Amino acid sequence: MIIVRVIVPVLVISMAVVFAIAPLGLPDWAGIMAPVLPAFLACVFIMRGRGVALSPVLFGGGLVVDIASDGPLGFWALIYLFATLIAYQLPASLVQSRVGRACGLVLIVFAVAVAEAGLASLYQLKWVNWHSVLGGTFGAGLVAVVVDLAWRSRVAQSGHVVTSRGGAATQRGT
Amino acid sequence: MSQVDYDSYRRGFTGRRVESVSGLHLLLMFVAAGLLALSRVEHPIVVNLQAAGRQAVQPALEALEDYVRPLRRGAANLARYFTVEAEFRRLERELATLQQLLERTSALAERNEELERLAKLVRSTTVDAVTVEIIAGARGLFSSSVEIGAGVDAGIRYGQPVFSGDGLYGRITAVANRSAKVLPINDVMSRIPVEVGELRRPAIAVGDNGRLLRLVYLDGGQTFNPGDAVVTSGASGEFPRGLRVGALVVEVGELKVRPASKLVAGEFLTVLKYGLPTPAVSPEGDGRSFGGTSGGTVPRSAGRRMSVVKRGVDNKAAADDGEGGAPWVRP
Repeated sequence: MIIVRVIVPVLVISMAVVFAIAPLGLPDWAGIMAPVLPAFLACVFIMRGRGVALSPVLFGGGLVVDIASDGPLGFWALIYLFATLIAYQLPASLVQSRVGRACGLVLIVFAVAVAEAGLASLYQLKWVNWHSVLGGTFGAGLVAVVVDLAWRSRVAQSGHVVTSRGGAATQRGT
Repeated sequence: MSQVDYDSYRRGFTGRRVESVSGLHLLLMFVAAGLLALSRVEHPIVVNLQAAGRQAVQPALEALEDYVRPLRRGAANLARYFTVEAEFRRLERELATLQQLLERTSALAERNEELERLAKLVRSTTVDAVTVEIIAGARGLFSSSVEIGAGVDAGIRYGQPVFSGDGLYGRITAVANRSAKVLPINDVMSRIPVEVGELRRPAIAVGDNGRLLRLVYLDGGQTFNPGDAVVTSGASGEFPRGLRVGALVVEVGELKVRPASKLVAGEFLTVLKYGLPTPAVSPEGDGRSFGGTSGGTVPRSAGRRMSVVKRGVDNKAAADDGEGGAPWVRP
């Protein structure tokens, strides 16, 4: 179904972008966690085979976050696309299990944290605060892992699986 | 068939990738990297794009603000509930200290009035101030600026000094009709002309996103002591002379400034409506020059030669002084 494959991921990513730019008065560490969250949520969708048409959404969302956060244009867009590029490159056999997807997310979180800090340091020509970058990125990664686990639980409870090809495959014995 | 089995069937356990990367994805990465590079060199295309984007996003942010304000206040009230006892004790201590100070201040005020009468001093300056709620804090890796919920409509202009409860917090760097951006003095983009010590040696206090400010162009031939006051020199015309910035400290053999303000934005900031020359928006007030911290569209040096708007100044001589050299009264 197109709703599951395209519209839901786009809506979720858009909501994450709105969360990232909303003036919620979050503490400083969340200043990095909120902007990077859309990237990891997109990775969850991609690892579950629902990454169709996410690239333009991520690019546009990244630009919106860049503008709203008063940062350089293209930074978050590049980070989002970089994170999802890794998600696309993961071996399909790895992301078939819950543990495998969690491992994939950890790998992506590490890569994104390094890319974020490295790119920001390069841009400013001085080292950025690694602690806040790591803290915020890992916090967002943890949220993505929880979302992936919650998704799994919901699917298990409903008794059927919505396939990436749009159909529904009933679980064995039900 | 479980999800794992189905996916295994679909992907075939061949070690293939999740999906092949589309050409569009790579193209967008290339475009993003290009925009980032152009941002670094502050290319006019990117600067204009950012300004236009900011202008487009601003109404959405203001609309969002209406929705999230109750949530934010609720969360803040909840947080206060858990610290109310400690806060009460702190306020009790502060009250005792302030009562002592009040007695001393009263005596000093009387003496001051007496001296002013003897010197035939003409009281000259009153400067308006407005206290505004912060609607968005610092976000991201690049900017520590915060956004306040008042702009041109409330008389706020580019460059005006901003105070937190503790001291000088920063200055206005961009203004829209109903909001403005405040650049803290410790931001990497901040440069403030200051005077150091009793001899009032000139220097520039430079932020580096740390808790201390660096001092550049300070005359090394002088002797300074840790704790010496650092105040604004008024040389830029943006800040009046004599605003307390902080105190001198020594860190790794280098003289630095510990800001008087804790630089932690609470819920409100006070904007001083000090007369400034540079218009923040176009004369129509449509906010078109909402240019951010680094991509300002009006050169400040040029702005200083433009018309000066003095607010609340009741002295003709002071009003004639385009560089804000009038005696200063704290709000």
